[in-house]
Amino acid sequence: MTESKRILLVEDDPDQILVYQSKFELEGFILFVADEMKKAIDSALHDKPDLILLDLLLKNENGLNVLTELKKNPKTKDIPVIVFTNFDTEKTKDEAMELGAVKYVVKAQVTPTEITQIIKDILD
Amino acid sequence: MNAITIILALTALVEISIVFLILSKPKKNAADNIFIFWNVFIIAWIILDIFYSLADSNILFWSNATYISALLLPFLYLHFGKMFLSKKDINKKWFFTSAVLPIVILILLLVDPTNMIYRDESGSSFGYIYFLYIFYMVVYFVIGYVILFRKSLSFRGVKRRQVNIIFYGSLIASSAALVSALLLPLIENYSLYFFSPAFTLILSVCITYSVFKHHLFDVKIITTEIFSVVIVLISLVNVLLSQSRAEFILKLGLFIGVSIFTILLIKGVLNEVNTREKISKMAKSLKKANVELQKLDKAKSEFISIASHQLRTPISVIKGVASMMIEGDLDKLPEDKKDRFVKSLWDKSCKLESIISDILNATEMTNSTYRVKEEKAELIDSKEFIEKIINDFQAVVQERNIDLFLKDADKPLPKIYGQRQYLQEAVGNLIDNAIKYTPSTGTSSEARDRRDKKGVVSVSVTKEKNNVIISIEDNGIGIPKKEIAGLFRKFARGSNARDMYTDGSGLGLFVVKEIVKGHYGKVWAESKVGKGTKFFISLPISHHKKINIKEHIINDGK
Repeated sequence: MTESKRILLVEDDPDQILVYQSKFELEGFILFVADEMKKAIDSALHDKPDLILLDLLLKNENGLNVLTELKKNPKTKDIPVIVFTNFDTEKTKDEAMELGAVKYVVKAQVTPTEITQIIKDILD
Repeated sequence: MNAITIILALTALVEISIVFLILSKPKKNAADNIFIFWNVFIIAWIILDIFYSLADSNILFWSNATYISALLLPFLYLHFGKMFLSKKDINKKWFFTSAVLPIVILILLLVDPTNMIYRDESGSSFGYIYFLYIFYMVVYFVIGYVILFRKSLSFRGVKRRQVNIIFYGSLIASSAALVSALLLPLIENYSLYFFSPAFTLILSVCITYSVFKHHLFDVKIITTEIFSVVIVLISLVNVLLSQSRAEFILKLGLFIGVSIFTILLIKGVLNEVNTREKISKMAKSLKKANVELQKLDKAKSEFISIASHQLRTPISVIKGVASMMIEGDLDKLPEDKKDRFVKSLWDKSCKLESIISDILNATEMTNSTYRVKEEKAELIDSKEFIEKIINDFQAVVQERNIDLFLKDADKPLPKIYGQRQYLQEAVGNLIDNAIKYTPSTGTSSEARDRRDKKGVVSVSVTKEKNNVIISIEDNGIGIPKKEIAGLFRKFARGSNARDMYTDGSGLGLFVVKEIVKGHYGKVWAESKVGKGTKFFISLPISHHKKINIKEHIINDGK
């Protein structure tokens, strides 16, 4: 990696933000955090992230709607989106992949280092 | 023994067997009872007709007797039509009003018998009662047709067919009977007079068929019954036609044998009907139980997928922090951030613990063997009850610098009726919720840091009519209006991710709702964003029915 990659983390739990933000910044990523749908869309448009990590359970909002919006907009539709959540059903997984997510990762099953590696693999 | 008598006797036998068939029906409704009366009156009419046809003297008496025996038929028909397939009780007002006209005719026939019909060799003469009688018959039957026709329109499928069979059967039977018994005599034609009871048989058979129609095999039974009755009747006629004494005895023996055989046959067949009915009922209840089980199964798997999400969330933080510690990432961070990592470890561990107890509670709520019993309900002193719960939160509220107190603690408070252990859980969950959403200066959460006012959570217990209302009010962040409605939505239904999310385990409010519902109470919330939230639990002062939390959950799933 020659230049710093820009990551948008869509997440609303402060503790999780703390963990992943710290880890990603240690890894040299430039991090943007959005805790709700509107902020996530705005950030995707203006901060030009190279990759988006999207939680599905946002306050009062289904993360899949964020994914749908991102894929609808020509400016954001090419940004790879990893669905990064603890919600794990076959149905939701299929739905997310169908909507255009590059990967579906269950948070509790990976360590911060592992998710960093997944991000790096996708960005390379 | 002439042809008329044989036909009449045959009709009577079929009618009698119909009466027994209806009497053997396990559950008789109003329409069935009316139909029994209908048949009894027809049997009486037939018997009187036989006497009338054979009478040499007292013609007027026998003639009027037949008219009286048939008098209630239109009245019964009309009420049968009204009650058939109806769940309502007989409308008494309508029943007695419609009985006036036939009673008037009956009285007239008794006090003024000569003004009905008089027949001798020179012909017939008709009195005013005869015309009133025709008028009554026609009008009541027509009303009966209209009732059945409208009933037919209001039903679909099997029920409509059941009504239609009766409608058309009665149209044919009653018109034929009216014409042959009342109208043709007006033009001196008595050729069909004694056949009129036989015409009504069409209707009786149609009704019988229709009453039992929901089981196809019953049609077979009716056929069997009618057929065996015919055989008995033939053997009876055979006995009566005996030429010699020896032949009479022989045929009588045969007749008795056939009769016994027939009774046994019908009894056996009826037994079979009952057995089959029982089996089909059991099959139905099995089917219902199966649907119920499937619902429960679906709710359980939804519950598991949600519960696993809620369990994973704190674990992902704990695991993440621990792995960063192991990998040495944490040492690269500044001291204050390290402290926040450790704090988040602590917070998430506590959360995990509370989620597990929530899940255990929720599982207990949905456990099929679980029942709350009225014997375990008690009158609870609210001051002591609330203050004990508040005490359990002392550590948390001190840490977060929140005022948690019971309002009007010095005044007498209404007692609460219910199961202490569960109500404690419900109120505790709401207080926990209020604390979570209320400003505090002693927490790591960024959202909480933004606020500067002191957090206040107050609990009050008041009485309103027959309910005790426990309210928990906070001055926290509040809940957006559109979110309030979803707060109490049954958890198991939250296939949509957004319905599941609450800051805590997401199961707390579900448990509160189920407990309160199990106590015949209500739970709701009022809130203003930025101002605070007020949760209310309303509990009836006493329960008339048994508390049954499990039943409430199952009903809710429908």
